[in-house]
This record gives sequence, structure tokens and C-alpha cells, in this order.
Amino acid sequence: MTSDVGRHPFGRDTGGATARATMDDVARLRILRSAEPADPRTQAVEALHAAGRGDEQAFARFYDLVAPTVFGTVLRVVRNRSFAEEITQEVFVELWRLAPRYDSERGSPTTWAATIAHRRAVDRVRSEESARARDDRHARDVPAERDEVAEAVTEHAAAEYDRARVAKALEQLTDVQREAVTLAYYGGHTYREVASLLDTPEGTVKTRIRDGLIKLRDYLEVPA
Amino acid sequence: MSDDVHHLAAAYTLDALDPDERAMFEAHLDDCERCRVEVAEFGEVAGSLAGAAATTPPPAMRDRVLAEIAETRQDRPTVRHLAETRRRPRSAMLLATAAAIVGLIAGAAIALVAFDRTSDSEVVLSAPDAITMPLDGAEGSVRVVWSSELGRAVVLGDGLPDPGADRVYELWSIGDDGPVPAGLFSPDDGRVQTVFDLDPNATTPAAWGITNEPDGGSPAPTGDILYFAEV
Ligand SMILES: [Zn+2]
Repeated sequence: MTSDVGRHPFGRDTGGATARATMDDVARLRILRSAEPADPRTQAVEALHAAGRGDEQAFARFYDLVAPTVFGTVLRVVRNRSFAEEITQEVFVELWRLAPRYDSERGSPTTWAATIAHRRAVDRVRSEESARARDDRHARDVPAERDEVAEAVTEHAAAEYDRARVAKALEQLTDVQREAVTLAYYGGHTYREVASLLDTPEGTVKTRIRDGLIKLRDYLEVPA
Repeated sequence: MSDDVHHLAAAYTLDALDPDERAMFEAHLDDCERCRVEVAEFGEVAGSLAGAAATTPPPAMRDRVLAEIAETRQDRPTVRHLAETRRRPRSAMLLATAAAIVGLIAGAAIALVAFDRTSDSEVVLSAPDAITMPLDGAEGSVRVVWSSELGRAVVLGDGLPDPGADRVYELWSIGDDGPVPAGLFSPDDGRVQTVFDLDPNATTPAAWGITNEPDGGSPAPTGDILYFAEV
């Protein structure tokens, strides 16, 4: 019983030598599996993959990484805290449900979560449109300028970096491009609504949104 | 019109299309590689816009979310998704054939069903496909009994040394992707009989191992393999 623990359980490349797994093997294994301290995106990918296998604790880690982005995006669009909380809760349940289908080659976990959150917020607002008199002034603010809904803006360093970077990117746009993009994204308006708000032809607004996003993409150096 | 459609990628990414246009554009996306690429790129831009709006949610929301997801069944992974996530870590071999992929889906589906049952170790021990593996080790005796159909394993042990203060034993299912944590246990007076749910996405174990780990376990083994068997 004691004599032959011997086969190397991990190493495919040690030729079935006699040693047991040692700390060295484990270290090597860790490099292979990149379990060493990872950047936030890698951490989020790992947490989300584990959550996709039903790991609730991993989902809690994923929540901690993306909740400010999700909540902030929803709050921007719906402009009402308790409504935003309700929608954020729904969004996270949806993220949990969809986690097994997340594909890291299609985008970062934050982008994935933000896409689902924004879509959900916009759809909920539009479905309740008639019940709500929406005040569109806030939507025109660039995110770096805090308005009353953004008063609780997170102090997280990464968020601060994002804000500065995006504010700079938005500066590259013409005023009318920036207005069209922010009314659409933060305001949650369709391009038709934006056109009527600005009393501008729909085709012109469509073009401003497109040209604006191309500039943002190029400035933010989104890899193709 | 056809050129117009391509130009909707930006507005689509910002959720700025009417429902009809959105549906039309999504149908178009199935056929247009160029627009799929644009939507992915603009999606990262939108992700940055979202990140810039980050706002700390109320602290109580975390518990509410975690309570609700604990009661919520997840969607199954798609075949394509499984193939891709499995390929990336290492073994393309295992997935080389469609048959292998179908096998994985079937295994994952069965394991998900098993999660819903409150099954105990007896069920695993009497499973028609149960395999018993005695593990080699220095002290005492340990067996792993494992049913791939149930997606569960039982550790049975006798005469095991106490793992030490603030230490536990950790069971590893060792497949193509390396050791995957299968569960933690502490013997009671040297004895153990504990059932574990296996990770449905882990590759079929080629071996089982047990290490001694700090309380709470480790994501990867930090010590020698104390008990070990190849399947
Ligand atoms: Zn197209």
C-alpha cells in the first residue's frame, strides 16, 4: 500500500517518472492553468466560466466585478433608483441563467453584462413609456459630469479610469455626434426619438450615431 | 435599402432601433459577417460607455441577487459553446469528433438533473454504472465510488490521519484539463463517507487524487498527492 503511490498524476511530459506530485509540479501546473493573480478581465472570465458550471460563489465574485457597471447603466437609462434596483436584480438573474452560454471570444464579461443590462433597461422603459414622463435633460450630460442620478457614482479606481478614458474619447466627437450617441445610449432613445427630440432628419441622426461610434471605436482602440 | 441595412449596426448596438427594425437587423446579422464584426466592435464601445456610468449598487442587492439565483435553474450550454470552451484549455483531441461533443452534452444534461435530487451516498453506491477505485496512500484506506451517470462520487475512508488544525482533505478529479476540485472532507475518528457533486463540465477523470489543504480548500493542489489512483 505504501510503496507505489508513484505514478505522476499530473505530468504528461515527465514520462511517467517515479516521483509524486510535488510543489514544483503544482507551480508548473498553476502557470499552465494561469491560476496566478489575474487582471480584472481574466478574473471576470474565470468567475463567469465557473458560474456557468453552477458555482454560486463564483457568481458572487462576478457580481462584485460587474455590479457597478450594470447598476450604473440601468440607472442612467431609467433615471429612478428603485426602478433601477428592480431591473438590476432581473438582469443578474438573467446573467446567471445565461452564464453557461457566455463565450469569452465574443467580448469581455463586463461588455456582455452591460449589453444585457442596457437592452433590458431600454425595453422596460419603453414598455412603460406612457406611464412615465421622462426628463431628457440628463441624458445629454456626458458621463464625466455627474448629475443627480450619478451622485452615488462608484469610487472604484477602474471605474474612474473608464470615466476619464470615455470622457476623453467623447471629446473627439463633434457636438452633434456626441449629443446623438449619448441621447441614444444613456438616454435610452431610439434614433427616431432622437431625431424628433432634436428636430433633425432621421437619416442625419443615424449617420451621426454611426460616425460617432466609429470615432469612439478608433479612439478607444477596440481590437478588431 | 440593402446598403442602409449595414448602416444600422451602430444604432442596433446602442439599442436604438424600433422593435421591427431590430428584428429585421437581427435576421440580417445571421447572413452578414461584416455587420457581426461591427456589432462586436461597437459592443466593446458600448461596454466602455457602460463602465463610465458605473455606480455602486445598494449593498443589500447582493444578497437578494444571490438568494434568487440559488433558486434559478440555468440554461444549458449550447453545443458550439461547449466545443469552444472545452477546446481552449487544452484538449482538442477529446472534441475531435461530433460523437465526443454529443457525449459531453448528454453527460452535462444528466449531471444537471442529478443536481436537483437530494441523493445520498447509497444512491451512488448502488448506481448501475458505479465504479469503485481504491486509492493508494500511506495511511489507512480510501475508495472513491463514482457514477458518471449521476455525476456524483462518494469518498469512503477508514483509518485516515487527522488532516491537522485548520486543514482539510481535498478530492481531485484529474482529467485532461488537470486536477479539478471535487470536494472537501474531514474524517471523523479516521472515517469518512461523503458524497460530492461532480463538475458537469470537467473532463472524464483519468485519475483521482487527495491532498491536504488549508481550511476551505484550494482551487489547485498546493501539496503532495497523498492518495492516488488511475482509472
Ligand atoms: Zn450587414
